[in-house]
Amino acid sequence: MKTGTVTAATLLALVLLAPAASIAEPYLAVRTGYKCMVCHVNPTGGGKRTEFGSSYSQTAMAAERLDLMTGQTAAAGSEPESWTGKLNDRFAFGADLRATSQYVAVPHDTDTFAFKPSAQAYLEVKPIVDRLTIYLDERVSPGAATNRETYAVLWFANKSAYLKAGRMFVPFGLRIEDDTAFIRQATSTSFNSFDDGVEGGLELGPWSVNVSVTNGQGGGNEINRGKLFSSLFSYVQPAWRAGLSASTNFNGAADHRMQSVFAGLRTGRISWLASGIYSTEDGTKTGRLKQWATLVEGNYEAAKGHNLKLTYEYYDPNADVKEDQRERYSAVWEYMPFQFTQFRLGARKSNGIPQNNAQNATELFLQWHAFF
Amino acid sequence: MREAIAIATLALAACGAGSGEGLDQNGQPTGLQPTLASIQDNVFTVTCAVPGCHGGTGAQQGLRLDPGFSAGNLINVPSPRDPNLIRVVPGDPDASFLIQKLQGTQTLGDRMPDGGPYLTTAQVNVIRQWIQGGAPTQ
Repeated sequence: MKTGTVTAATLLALVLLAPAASIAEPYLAVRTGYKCMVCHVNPTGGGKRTEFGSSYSQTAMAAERLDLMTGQTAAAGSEPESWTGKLNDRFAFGADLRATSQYVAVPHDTDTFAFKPSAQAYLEVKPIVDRLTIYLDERVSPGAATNRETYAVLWFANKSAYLKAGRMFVPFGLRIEDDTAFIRQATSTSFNSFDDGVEGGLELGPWSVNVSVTNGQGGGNEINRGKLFSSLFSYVQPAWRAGLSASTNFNGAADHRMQSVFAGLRTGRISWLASGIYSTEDGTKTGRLKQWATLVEGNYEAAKGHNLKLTYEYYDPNADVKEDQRERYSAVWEYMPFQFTQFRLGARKSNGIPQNNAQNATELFLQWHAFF
Repeated sequence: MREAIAIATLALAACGAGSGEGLDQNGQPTGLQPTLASIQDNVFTVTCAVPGCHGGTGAQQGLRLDPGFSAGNLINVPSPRDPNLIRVVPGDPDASFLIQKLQGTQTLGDRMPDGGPYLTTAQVNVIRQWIQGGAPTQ
């Protein structure tokens, strides 16, 4: 079989079979002191891992390493090979599968228990190594396939700046994995929210600056001349980081503005994250809508391969309305027994206004996350 | 020590959920709607039409806001202190003196309710909606 045929068959298999969901965990960046672009192809994080990021997950995150050819525990002192999805210098694949079983109890309603698979497949092509990359991120489950990102990114020679064009996640705030977090929901910046446009970035020492101009239609057809302008500024040190984000989306009828501050801090075995978001949206039926959302999270590395994540979130869906605030507590244990495999066991308790049952749900979940 | 501070910060961050008082299932205020009847019940009667202010026969500036009197004293009625200031201009909340007085953007007299507490932006926006919709009396 020709190499090209093998490549095409492999890609097809990935697209059709790979179950996945993107992993983006800013706490890992805080723990390691790295910028997002060190471990992810996307300079602002999420999606396919770089060769280094994949190697890091195999060597530093897993409780033990298996010999990838025999499936047996690698002998002490040996250095088993890594596999990063890299076919050659120009082609690399990646995938994330999250098979989740979820139990949700809603007061005064029927409890539900569901299996919820999700999957992403990634393709990275480098016509000019280290300079020009064409990247594809396709959600292949659940439901019909959806393109989340397709862009070309051109890096300057010393990797201090880049220009990106196509479909992308807009740079804004902390890109945490949990799409249901208030700071993601309230800002419509989850992994279900992408847009078409251009992005530029500077990577100067500890500084990162990312700015984008996109249609502001969430990947849908453009219907006006308005554009979404978004920016992300961050300063990264080995033990801490801080950043700011701002965006404005003027689409004729409404101007939606968002501001975010975020920070990360490593204290021993605990990596902390904090983020606060304030947004205003004009043109709603009650005039200007003002919202707040915050997140505070601690990640305790109990042992190699084990992470305990405790999170508190707060959300004020309308700052002009009293007694409508919501909050959510989460506890998630993440266990990575060996390469490419992570199990997550979690509980979330939401508290909201008592007359809304769904805002007071309790959720338990067990997730198998397979990735490369 | 730093971890203790961080944990304490996390604990202090817990703000609590809203009680839901006065809200519907979707978290929207149940009381105030953009109708004269609702504004009367939730704003004029409880906040404005009190003795010594805009209640009873001796209402300030002749602006009696008791039930049954509000529409006749507001809609297309000029202020006695400046006939150019129309209290409610149907369809134009920005030109309505009532809105200016509630928002604190008035050029004559004090912001209302006198001395506060003032209406929230959401409440004022509902009254603006009512005026924008033509200030219907039904």
